[in-house]
Amino acid sequence: MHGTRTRRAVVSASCAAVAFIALAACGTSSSGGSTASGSGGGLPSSIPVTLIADKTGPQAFYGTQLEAGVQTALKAVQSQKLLGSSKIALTVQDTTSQQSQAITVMSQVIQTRPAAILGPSLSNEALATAPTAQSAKIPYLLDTSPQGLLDTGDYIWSMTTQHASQMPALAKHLAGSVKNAVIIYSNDNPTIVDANKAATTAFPQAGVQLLDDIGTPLQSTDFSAVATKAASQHPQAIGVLGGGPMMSSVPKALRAAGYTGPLFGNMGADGTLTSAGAAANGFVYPAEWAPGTPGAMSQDFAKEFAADHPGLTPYYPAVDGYNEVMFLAQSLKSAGSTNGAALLSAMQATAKKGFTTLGGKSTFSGSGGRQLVDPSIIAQYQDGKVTAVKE
Amino acid sequence: MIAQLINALVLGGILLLFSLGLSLAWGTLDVLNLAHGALFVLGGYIGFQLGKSTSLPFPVIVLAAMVGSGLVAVLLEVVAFGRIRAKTTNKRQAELAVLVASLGGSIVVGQLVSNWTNNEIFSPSDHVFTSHQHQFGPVRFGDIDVIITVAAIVVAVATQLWVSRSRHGRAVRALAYSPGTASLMGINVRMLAVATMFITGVMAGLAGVLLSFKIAGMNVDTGDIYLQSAFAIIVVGGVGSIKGAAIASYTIAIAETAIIAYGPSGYSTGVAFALIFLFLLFRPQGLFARRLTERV
Repeated sequence: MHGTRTRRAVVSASCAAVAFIALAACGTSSSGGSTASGSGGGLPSSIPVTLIADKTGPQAFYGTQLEAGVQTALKAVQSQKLLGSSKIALTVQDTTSQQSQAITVMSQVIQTRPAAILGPSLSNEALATAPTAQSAKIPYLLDTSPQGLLDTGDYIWSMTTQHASQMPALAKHLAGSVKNAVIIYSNDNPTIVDANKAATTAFPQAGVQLLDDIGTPLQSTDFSAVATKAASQHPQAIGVLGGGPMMSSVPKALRAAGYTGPLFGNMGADGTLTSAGAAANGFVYPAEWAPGTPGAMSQDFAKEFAADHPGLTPYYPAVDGYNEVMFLAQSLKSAGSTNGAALLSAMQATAKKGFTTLGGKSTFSGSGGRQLVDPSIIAQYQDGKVTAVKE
Repeated sequence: MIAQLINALVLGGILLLFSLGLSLAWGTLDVLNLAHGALFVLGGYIGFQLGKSTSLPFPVIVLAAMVGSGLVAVLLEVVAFGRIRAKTTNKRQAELAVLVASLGGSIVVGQLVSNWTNNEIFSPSDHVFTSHQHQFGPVRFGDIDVIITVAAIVVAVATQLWVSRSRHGRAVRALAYSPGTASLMGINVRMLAVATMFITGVMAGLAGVLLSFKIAGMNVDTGDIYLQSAFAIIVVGGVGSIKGAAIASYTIAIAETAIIAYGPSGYSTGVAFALIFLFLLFRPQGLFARRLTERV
């Protein structure tokens, strides 16, 4: 009797396990959104999209900006009726600025089968989560562009301009007034190392001699020695390629070391110069957008963002978030479906046609044509404000 | 070269101010306080916030930052470290438990500062204190550089004198040697531990607020960077040795600055730590290690 009871329990448990596995297999067998029409028969009324962002933790600046840009874009999509009566239903997940949490969140997100996933700003999180999105065949639009990201697969898109690709525009802008320069760059960040490599080619080509490029760890706090080394070479301009606190600490250290000339940098300066105060006045850098960028779309964005997020200044992660949603919305409209393959096809077509971002007419290049290349605007920081430089 | 020497002197001053507090806690109370970095950042944050929302003068802001960090250190001692030491009879277990508790303290304080600053970079504005630059031939330095250097020397000398010559300093040394015996000798171990932790917090706050006036970008991670260097300084100098901490601080500062100025600047931290590693191969106990006697 005991043996029969045990056998019954084992059989029941086995049946339950088989049923569970079958259900799970059915759940992941199709690609694309959970409310997908499947056969391309029109967009559903609610299109689920998930944003994975660094909302808390040391990188919360980027996550806060990214979400703000996304929310403003969603309102614009709605008010312009870009998707007809359909609406994007956004879910936001927090990585807490940790790679391990990003991986956990991504594993949970793919179970809900969103139509698309908007990704985080950190390179290490992007690289860690991209393979999961690729194997789930869900389009993943990311706010970062580390080397190797796009090689993960065709569902992975980088919606932020690579810093390295902006160096020629920066060099061209400086060539008019500067004959030589020194660059200080963070040598432990792959994105910045690439930007520096691009600068060492672009600057001489534009007629600006590079006297030196001085590496420094990104997390350094005291840049006095680096600043003294740079200033002692008496360059006509000094560049700072990096991100985070470094972007305000280095200008301050340079001025303390006696350097009074012009400063330039990379897009990492966007939103990080305020602490430097007057030390950073005149700092120029390539950006995807800045107040004063011409165009109706740019002006509308500035107004809408200010209305939606009073007191928050939009920097490049917010611009990227806005561009991501507009690109996704156009692709959804074109696909007429949230089916992953159909949406991917539409994204590829939209990218090939050319897509207008806040900065102007953009193109896509790189692996599979999935790397956004924005026209570079030169932005200038002055007295706490950033404006687009009229070229 | 003179400019770089001045840079090394100032960097050494910050490292010394930071590591003095950590060394004092570790050497006297066996508290390896991983929250020390968070207290350092808290000092910087208090300076930033008071500068933004009040018109208090610079010296008052510095004092407030020191006291603020000191009080939080006391809170950690009262709520966690002291209780753990009182309830655990095994010394090793107590050290480990205190270490874990200090990590928790570091996370809590760090999270609070993160929330208050929205994880953005912060630094006090120039209207609170403007560091004017002075140039005498090849020698160039700012007001804040002088303040940091003088503060570091004064605090180090004062701490050394306090520990070696004062009645309370003797009590602290007795506490470091044997808390049980110190208690039997009539020393209020509890109050002394609280006072010592207050002093370590004050030192962390002073280092943090002065650094925040020198650099333009502080955030929650800044303390962790100095914590790494401080461990190296304490180990090289000898745990609990103020003289050792001073020598190690300035040596590391000079090594890092020299590598930046004349070598592969991007690897300055790595090379400095490689030198420390080599040093420890020959003298693992540090320069001025405390002599330990074990009765068998």
